Amino acid sequence: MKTKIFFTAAVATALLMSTSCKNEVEDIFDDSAANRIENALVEYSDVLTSAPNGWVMQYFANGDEPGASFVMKFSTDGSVNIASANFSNNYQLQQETSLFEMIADNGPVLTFNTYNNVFHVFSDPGIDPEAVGIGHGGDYEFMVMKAQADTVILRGKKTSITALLLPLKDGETAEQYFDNLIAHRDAMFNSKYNTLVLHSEGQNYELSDCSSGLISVVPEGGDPVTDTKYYPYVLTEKGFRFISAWEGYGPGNTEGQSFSEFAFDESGKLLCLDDNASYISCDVPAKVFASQTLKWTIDPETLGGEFPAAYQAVVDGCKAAFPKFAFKLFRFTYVASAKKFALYFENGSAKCNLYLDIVVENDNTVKISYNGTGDKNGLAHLSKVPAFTSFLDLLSKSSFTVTANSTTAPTKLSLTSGNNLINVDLF
Amino acid sequence: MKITKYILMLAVSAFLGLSLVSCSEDDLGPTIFPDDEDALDPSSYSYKFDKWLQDNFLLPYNLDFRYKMEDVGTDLNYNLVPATFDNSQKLAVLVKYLWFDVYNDIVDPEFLKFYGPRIIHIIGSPAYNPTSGTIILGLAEGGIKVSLFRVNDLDLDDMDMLNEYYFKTMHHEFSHILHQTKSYPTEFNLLSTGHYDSSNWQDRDEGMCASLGFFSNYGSSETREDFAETIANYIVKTDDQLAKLYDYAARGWEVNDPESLDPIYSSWFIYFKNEVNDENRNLTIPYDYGHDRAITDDDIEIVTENGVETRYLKNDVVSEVVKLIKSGDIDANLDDWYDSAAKKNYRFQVYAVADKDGIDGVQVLDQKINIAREWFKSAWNADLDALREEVQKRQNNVNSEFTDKLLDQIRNVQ
Repeated sequence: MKTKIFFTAAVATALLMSTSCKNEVEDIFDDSAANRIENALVEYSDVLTSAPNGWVMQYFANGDEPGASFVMKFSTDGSVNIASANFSNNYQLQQETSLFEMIADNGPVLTFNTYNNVFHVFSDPGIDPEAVGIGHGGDYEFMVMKAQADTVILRGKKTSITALLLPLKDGETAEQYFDNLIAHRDAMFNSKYNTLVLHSEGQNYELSDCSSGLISVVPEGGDPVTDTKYYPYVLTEKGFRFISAWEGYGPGNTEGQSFSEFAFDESGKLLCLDDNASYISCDVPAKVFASQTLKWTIDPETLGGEFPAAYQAVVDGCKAAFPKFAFKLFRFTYVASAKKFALYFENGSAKCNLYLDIVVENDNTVKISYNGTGDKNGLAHLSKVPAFTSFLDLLSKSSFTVTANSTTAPTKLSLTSGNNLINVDLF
Repeated sequence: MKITKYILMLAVSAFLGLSLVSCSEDDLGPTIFPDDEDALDPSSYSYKFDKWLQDNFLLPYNLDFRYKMEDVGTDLNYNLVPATFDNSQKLAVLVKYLWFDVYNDIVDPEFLKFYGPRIIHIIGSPAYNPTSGTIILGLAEGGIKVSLFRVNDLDLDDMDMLNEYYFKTMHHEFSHILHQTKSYPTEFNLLSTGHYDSSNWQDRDEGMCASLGFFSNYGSSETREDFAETIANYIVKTDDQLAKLYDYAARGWEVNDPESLDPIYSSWFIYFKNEVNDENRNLTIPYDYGHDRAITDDDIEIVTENGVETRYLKNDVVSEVVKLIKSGDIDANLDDWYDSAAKKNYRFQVYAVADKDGIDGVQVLDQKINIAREWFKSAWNADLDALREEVQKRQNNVNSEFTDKLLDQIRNVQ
């Protein structure tokens, strides 16, 4: 027995001792780590410098501030021209050239390694007197997560916030890009429409402070204190993108619903690109017109039907009755002290109101009628200038169909009734 | 016997096993690192500057003047940003003019090659220290690397600022490199024993520090900083600035409220209503709502009567205070100021604060410079005074126009 044990031990010893260090494992990578990273640096630099018209970077310095867009043109000589109009420079276009480099750090890292007044303002620790030593806290060194001709995804080394680079359209200048961006911003959000509604399946949300760049979200039916969440966004070519996708929540939320990017579709709807169904809007046009907080000035140049003549009669009538004054404007407004809508007008320095009833008949229809009263100035003008009565009669004759120039922040409304047309501008 | 047999058997097995071991030896292949030359690319945007740096710093001094900031090369606890390309170039030519060329001319061309830093890393912003409220102006790490901060605030027409943020800092940091290489005499450490304050030095007044025998408040933080500050201040301070420092060193200093977060140090005081008693003794002048300031030399006029010099607060200083009181823009005691100064038309006689610290500031400053001077001579065979003289001569030339001419060196790089 003992002999067997020792024999087995001897064989095992012999086998164990005969292990060989012959390495049969094939290399997983076809090149050395150093060469691979070097190649990646060259490849990624090429991607950046090859975009014929440069890139648009969508950037967030931190999670509590609006994002900013930059038009960046990377050159093979190691320079980068950066242009931007954003909240930190009051949307006044600035541009400056500085240096960039693709370095081997945490993997391939894109660094903007000389100061650029347009870009580094977001990482300069001395820039904000309220938070000296921190500033906006943004990154200027980015890990490259993906680099392809149509998209480059970067991740801030300190903040880990994603920055997205998309090619700028051929032929478009930085100035045109930002003009367009600002025009879209104005069409999308206006501080006068403080609260918009995000319509989503099962659960709507109230969105406030949209024009500030940091939207506060409350689900309908939710608690305004505990359920309010804040999400910053960056403007995009046709809409905006949140810093990251946020999950739907609230009593009626459908699981799996999330929101990251919105853009105007062809019909002018501010559509969620995540599901192509949810959308953001303000009130329906009729309610926008009949709002107690908004004022609408009649554009005398684009009146239609019987209105041009009626308007001219008012102008002439005022001139005849009050030769020293010149009639200035008509405006639909709400007089809080009188708790009434009014047709407000100015004749010389006189400010006058004639009170109206405005009834919303449906989403797109309003009925305007003179309710027979006005303030002192208004009634004085009414008695001396018969044309005011004709104008009011015309307004009261039939309902108007209201159309708006934006679904989220209208600045122009058109009121039509047959051939009669009034265009009004947001005051 | 049996045991011996088994042992023998195991040994034979082991030998057999070992003899079967085979190791295929990998050939030593080429380097895994890319074999590309570290040559400058003449088509690059920064070529002229890079070439100038190579020719003026890298090749002669083995110095990497690092202006393209690498965050990883800094303390990641600070939020820092790069320097602008323009300011990097301005600072580079000035570093050469005010530092390298000086040592080259006065000490030895080999000196900085041996002992100079290997890396100068320049950074656009200050490094804010959020806990103490201080900012770091420069760092010398292990005698190898000097970091200079706040380069984006470069003002070429303000030599005091240039010294404070860059050149004094560089002399300071270089002093560290030198004394880390060859120690300075330990007797230096004994000159101000008991007067260092490593945690609250930033709240100390420069004048009071001078009277304690320190060249700056930072010098009063600890001995090695004291040594570096002695050398750096001695080299860069003008004759007038040094004279002022010595004047401060000879005075007595007093603080108005030691418990205050923002204490005010003064070497002068007045008595309200010219009534000489403790209650009316005052070290400060009101200047803004709720704030006072020290009485300074500029506030004082000296009147000589019968060969006796008497100091008074200047009339316009008193009028200014009274005007401020009338306008309600300051929070001052009307009785103290308005009654005694305006209504009764008193003049405020100014008295010097008695020097009670028991230290002869002037003597200590001299002793410190002497030790530094001797150490420069013995350890480095260098003349500290000649170095100072050359730096002073060059500092006088520096302004934005002169720097622009220096920049031609970079512009003219082929």
